[in-house]
Amino acid sequence: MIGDLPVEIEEEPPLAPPGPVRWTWRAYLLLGFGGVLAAFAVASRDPVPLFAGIPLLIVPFLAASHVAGRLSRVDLAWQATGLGPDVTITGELNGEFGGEGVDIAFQVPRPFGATEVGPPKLDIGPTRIGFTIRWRLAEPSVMVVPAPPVVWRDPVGLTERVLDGARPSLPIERYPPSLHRMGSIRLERTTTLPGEVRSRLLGASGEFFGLREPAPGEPPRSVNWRATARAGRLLANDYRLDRTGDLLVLLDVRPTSLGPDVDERLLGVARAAAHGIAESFLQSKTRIGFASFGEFLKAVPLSTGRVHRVRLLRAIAAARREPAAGPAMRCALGLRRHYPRGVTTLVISTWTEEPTFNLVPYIQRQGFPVILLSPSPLPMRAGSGGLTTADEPLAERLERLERRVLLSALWAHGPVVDWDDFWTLDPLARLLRRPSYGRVA
Amino acid sequence: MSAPTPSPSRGGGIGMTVVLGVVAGFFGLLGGLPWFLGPVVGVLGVVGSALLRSREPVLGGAVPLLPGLVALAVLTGTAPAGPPTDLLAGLTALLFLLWAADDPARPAGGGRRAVPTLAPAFLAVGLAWVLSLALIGQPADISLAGALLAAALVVLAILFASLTHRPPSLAPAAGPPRAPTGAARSPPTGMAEEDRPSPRRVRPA
Repeated sequence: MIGDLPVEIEEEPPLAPPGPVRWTWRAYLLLGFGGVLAAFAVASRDPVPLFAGIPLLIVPFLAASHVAGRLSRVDLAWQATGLGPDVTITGELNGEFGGEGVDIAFQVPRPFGATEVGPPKLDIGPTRIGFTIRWRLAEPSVMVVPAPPVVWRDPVGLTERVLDGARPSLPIERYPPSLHRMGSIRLERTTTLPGEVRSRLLGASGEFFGLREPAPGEPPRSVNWRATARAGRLLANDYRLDRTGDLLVLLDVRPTSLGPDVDERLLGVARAAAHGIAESFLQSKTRIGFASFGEFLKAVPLSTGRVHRVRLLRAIAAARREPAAGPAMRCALGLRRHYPRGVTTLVISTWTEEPTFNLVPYIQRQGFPVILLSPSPLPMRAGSGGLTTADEPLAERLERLERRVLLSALWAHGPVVDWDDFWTLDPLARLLRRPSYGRVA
Repeated sequence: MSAPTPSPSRGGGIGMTVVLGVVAGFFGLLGGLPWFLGPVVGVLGVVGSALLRSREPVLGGAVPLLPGLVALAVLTGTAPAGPPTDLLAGLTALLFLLWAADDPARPAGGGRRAVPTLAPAFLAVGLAWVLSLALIGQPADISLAGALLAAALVVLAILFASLTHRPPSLAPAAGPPRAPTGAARSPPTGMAEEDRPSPRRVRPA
């Protein structure tokens, strides 16, 4: 148990027997030709086709018996490293390969939007096959790379067998590095009982935590003079900051006119932002809620802690673009039902069409101060219009201006961050640091 | 898709293609087709297969086998019965399988690596040919019976081997007990993770 929530211990699933031996297309072809030759030989009482047909008929069975007695289990251990858009996957397959590691075939599915940097590297040994794959991501994204199926193949290429083993999937999280520092931002005070729950942050106010050496330039007010007199050197107080506010991240998953491909990529970017923001604020014990709105509202209530982190991240990963859009009023009323009034609400949406804008006033009328983060579709459309190199910057500038005009209508309801450089979210961090970000009239 | 594949350390399979082409051409020369047509059919089948193999693999690399198999069927269907043609038919089929195994696009392939799989087939063809030579009688019928007998013997041997084979144990390898994964892992100090302060420090606004 952690807190009051029961958690299930994830146990290793019981081992399934290895997959059956399968013949490939090659084997079926050989068996077919061998059968025809043998039948022709018997029918015409001519032994020559039979001499050619015997090997074709026998070899698939030989290959099957060759595979059946070999390796049955291969385990995989892998990890993803790298910074920003660079992803390096290193791993190893463990099994009793002997000298036949080369017979093992596996394919790591490359996620959408990732490009391969150089060929994969392999290191084949008697008990392990090490591999290194390098990808470059186009945009920030949160993804889970499924475990690759591992297949043992015979040298002639007639039979194969899917091997069993413990092979976990690989989560990859890449979001703007500036989000790592976002948790230190003091949110607008919306908690009902200030000081009831302390954050993990140390600062200059709140409950006394400890003594430390004062930093250069620190105001004399922070110096603990009694402790200084006792110790004979300057000592300053540290306080545990109390939690100031809650944050609700609302993801707009309504379909847009940009098309399913661009929609999917933009949703991936939005998911990465939601993931990074939630992760960062959860580290400072801020209560975070998450909701996605397509046709209906799906909500994860406000909470904090490790279990809530897992719950949130699963909900964010499960958010998908929905085929139909629900009325904005439904979203606002749903939010009111799940979250207390006054929670700072970060709405992540592309805001490509005027009709979708009505979501914001509805949410605001229910008492939620909003901050609008808008992943821009412009970087994804750049260079796709068939323009010359000289015309491209002009078209880009015009599109930027058009988008700025479009988004200006939203500034009446709340601050808007037009996010077009996906590998930084400094504009949002700067906005949140301003003391009056939620008080736009 | 990222497909980690080892770089093939073998050659391009040209040597094996040449050997197969020579044997198929010789088989065509002894066959029933007019003297120039037999070798042409044999060599064309091999060249067609080799050309198809150099392209992107389709249906798991089965398509390149088609021209060679068709040429083999045509040559064996028209060849007159007799010990040399019997032997050459079997030899051509076996060399064709060896050539198919020596695919440079398949890292798991390789003529030498395929020998343990193909060796019983070599034995079957050899046994059938020796039986057809040793037994006395009408050559065609005896060859037929000998080939069928040899094939039956090899299939019986395979079945016997598979019956006596002991499947590998499915028990997981012994190792240190694993800690529960994910959210279920408790904080090491027994203290809830949320209550533990961290040294992160913020400046007052």
